[in-house]
Amino acid sequence: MAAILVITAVAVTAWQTIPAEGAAPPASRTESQKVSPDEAGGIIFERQQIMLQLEKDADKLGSIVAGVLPADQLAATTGAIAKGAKESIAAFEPYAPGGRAKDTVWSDWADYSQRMQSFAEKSAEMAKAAETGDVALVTSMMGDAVPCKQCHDVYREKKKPETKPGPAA
Amino acid sequence: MVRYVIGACVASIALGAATAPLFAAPQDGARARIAAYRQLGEKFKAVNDMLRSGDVQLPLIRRYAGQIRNSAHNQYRLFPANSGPQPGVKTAALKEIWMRPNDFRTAQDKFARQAEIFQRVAMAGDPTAIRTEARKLGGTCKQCHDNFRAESD
Repeated sequence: MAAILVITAVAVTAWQTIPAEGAAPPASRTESQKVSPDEAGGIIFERQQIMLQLEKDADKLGSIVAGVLPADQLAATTGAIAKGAKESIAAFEPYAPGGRAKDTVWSDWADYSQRMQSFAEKSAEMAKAAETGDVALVTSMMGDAVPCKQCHDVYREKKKPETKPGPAA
Repeated sequence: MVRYVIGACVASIALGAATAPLFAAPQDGARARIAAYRQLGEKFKAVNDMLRSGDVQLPLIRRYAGQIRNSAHNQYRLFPANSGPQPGVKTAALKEIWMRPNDFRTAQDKFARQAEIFQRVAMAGDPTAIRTEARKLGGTCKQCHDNFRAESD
């Protein structure tokens, strides 16, 4: 009798967790994180600014390791990248679809957030290494510490041709 | 005779000063605009950095909110007729600004109104409300950029 009750309880629990046929799988980070439409634009803008700054800092780091810019900016630049990486985790937490971020950022939140966490950790390690001034060491760490393309390939829409919409809303 | 020469010189200088904006090089207008928006961006970034980190220093937020509000009111002078995209002028401003002046004005007004609200909320001091209104302010920035500014990447 007890075994039947346990089996029944397990079956009922399993039944409740299986999505109905045709329904979308539960979103990892969507409805519960929704923000008001008024704030959504600002959230998107904020994360775009963070990403633009990261792009500039990554370009600058590339110029430093290539010898185009002086190496005395190494620590400051890698520090800025580490800061941006950390800020970008929180910037994508609220569910605010738009910009070039694909919806999969939030529907695959576990993977996306793990990538961002790794980015934050590895860029922080790189910034720590940069304090020694060793450009070669920093260069060897860049592949893991600045993994922009790998994430963009999966989670960012390709840039559309420059066409501006009609009258502003 | 000397008085007439001096008077003519003074009049010429005065006339030149009064009409200088009309003859300002297009790049000068664009440069002034870029400098002004960079300063505005720095203030807004500083606000958001504090709000994100949780280290909300109200006196600083209030100062920046006031500066942002002033920038919002000064923005109307930053788009003279000859400062748009053209050969020799480096600017992210799109020609739509001058082709759709009413729409652009609407976007500027939205920003200015929200900058006022943000300053009021900053003076009131509620961090949650400050965060909310800062986001809305960013939303007005985005709306204008989406329509009137070239993409950065």
